[in-house]
Amino acid sequence: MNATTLPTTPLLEVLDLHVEVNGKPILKGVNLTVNAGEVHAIMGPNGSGKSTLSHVVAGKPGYVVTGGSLRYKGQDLLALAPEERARAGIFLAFQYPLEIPGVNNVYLLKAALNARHRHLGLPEVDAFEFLQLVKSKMQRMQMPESFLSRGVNEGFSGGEKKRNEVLQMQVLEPTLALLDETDSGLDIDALKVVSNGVNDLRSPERAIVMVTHYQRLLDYIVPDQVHVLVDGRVLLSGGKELALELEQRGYDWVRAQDAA
Amino acid sequence: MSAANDSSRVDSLRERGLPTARDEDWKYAPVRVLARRDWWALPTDALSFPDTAAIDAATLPVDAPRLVFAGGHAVPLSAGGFGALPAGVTLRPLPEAALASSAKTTLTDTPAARIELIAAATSPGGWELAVAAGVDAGSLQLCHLPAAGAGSLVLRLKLERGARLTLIESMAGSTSTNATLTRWIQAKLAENSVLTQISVQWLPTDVALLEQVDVTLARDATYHAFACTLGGQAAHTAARVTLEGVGANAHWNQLLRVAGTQHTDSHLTMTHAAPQTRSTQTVRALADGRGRGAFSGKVVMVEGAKGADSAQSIRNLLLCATAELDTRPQLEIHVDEVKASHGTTTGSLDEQALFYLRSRGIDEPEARRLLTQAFTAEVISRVPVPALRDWLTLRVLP
Repeated sequence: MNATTLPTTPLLEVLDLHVEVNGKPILKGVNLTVNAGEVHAIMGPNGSGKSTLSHVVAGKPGYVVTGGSLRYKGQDLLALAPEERARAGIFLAFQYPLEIPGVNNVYLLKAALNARHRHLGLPEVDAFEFLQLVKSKMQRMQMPESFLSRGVNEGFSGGEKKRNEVLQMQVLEPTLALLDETDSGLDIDALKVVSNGVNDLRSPERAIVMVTHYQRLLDYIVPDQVHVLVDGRVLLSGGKELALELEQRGYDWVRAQDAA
Repeated sequence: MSAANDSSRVDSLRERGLPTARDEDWKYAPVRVLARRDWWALPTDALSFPDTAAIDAATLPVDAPRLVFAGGHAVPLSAGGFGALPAGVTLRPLPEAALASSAKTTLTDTPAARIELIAAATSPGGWELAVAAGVDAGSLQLCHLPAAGAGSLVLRLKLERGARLTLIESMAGSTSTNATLTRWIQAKLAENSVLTQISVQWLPTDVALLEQVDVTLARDATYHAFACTLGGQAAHTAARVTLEGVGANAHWNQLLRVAGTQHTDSHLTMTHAAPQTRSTQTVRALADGRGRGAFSGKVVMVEGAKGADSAQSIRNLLLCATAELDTRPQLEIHVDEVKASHGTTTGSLDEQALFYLRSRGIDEPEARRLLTQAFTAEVISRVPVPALRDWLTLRVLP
């Protein structure tokens, strides 16, 4: 996509990344390069480390990097706190978005956007314009007005929570968006709404990395590259057609090919 | 000094001192700190009222007429009056006999009755605040400041049939260091009356407090309590709410916050003494630093309280490892066909929620602040005075 002859720094560069959780190795040497403008899908069986990878990039505490490196725009990501990564333009759409009663949805969105603005040296958002922006994005995500007065994800259905993640993404306009199984638990109509929301964000300056179990999502958000993560390593990478092949042949095929 | 004060009685009380931690009701009380203060000082003639600036500093930002008490004295705010009371509301001194009788005959000296004994014996004379039948008196703010030589406050609240009052109490300010505040509030709610009592204790952190609140409700009366305990060095507070009439309702909401070396011990006894009575108790306690807080919530359903319904929810939030919160929920049920639920949790801030907020660009201290406020929101959001909700939201943080 948008091929250029100039050498560019990748948005995200994962080099031989080793990660442990509670003393147990989960990622065992992951390599991945994501450039601006690209959409990547990371697929793999349960427990392969897909979610761990997205959490480590977002900076979740408790994940211990025991080897390798993680760079964002050439900068060492491991030196940054989760909030610093967010302000620098990294966004993780959670697989299980938390309910935080007592912290208002809109308050969080506004605080998040202002934090990003401060980082970029932009003025704080105007309250009225911000509300207009949120309302238009809510319409796009087909979310009810009542959302505005509620606590973060408070009382939301699984599908509403996923929509809210993408709504936050639309408002914050991250440079690197990580989607952790955003398609799980969605019916086909919700999947379309969520996919449209994600596709809105495709741009030459931005990259999207989707972690998913199912090929179905990739019919709606077509990736440039597909990676297969098995047992903590990327065993195979390819174009969008790889997802179809996985759908037909399963992950054992990848394992067998790797062993050969 | 009032004729109600009997110095020999005070001397005998002083001799007995305060109950100790061996007493079940004082087990979690800051007995050592409390015992070092002088609770038996009689009111003197040489008292000095707090000045206007001190009173204003102890006033909550609400749009309501104001009554001010310094110790046990009502402070004259204007020539010949105690401020402009709402129509239908009267404030008058209790007859001497009423105070003397409660101090001498109706109370036996048990540890549970110690606070009202001290209050009655060291009061310069009690007060009665009454709302006439059928009157909706709106809001009234009652500021209560400690003052040397001013004795204890004994206040009787009387809501006549169908009366309504929102009483906003501010316990704050001090004219001396290491002051004490003793208060005994008795509220009698006649049929169909509604009392909303929002009590904010934000005393300076060197003040010690003893408080007893007794509320009785007649048929179909309603009591909404919001006890917000934020200040003081050491406090022992007790409330006894008795649902005496059929269909009476009481909703007790409490926010208890301790930080630094603050130590607060708080008791509630909710007695369902009549059929079809309902109560809720919602308590949110948070502790930081070396703060210690305790809440004992006892629900009693007497024989004959058929159809009574009570729900209790207590949550404790520990903000650091050196803080301590103790909770004692108790149910005492002497009747069938009632509903009584209770739940208690104690924990620290949710790490997952912290990460969620930080992953959105909120820095860690701010994320902690937001989650702490969220914890208290369940009580604060129910406070029926919007200006106070904002005020409390800001002040509740350690």
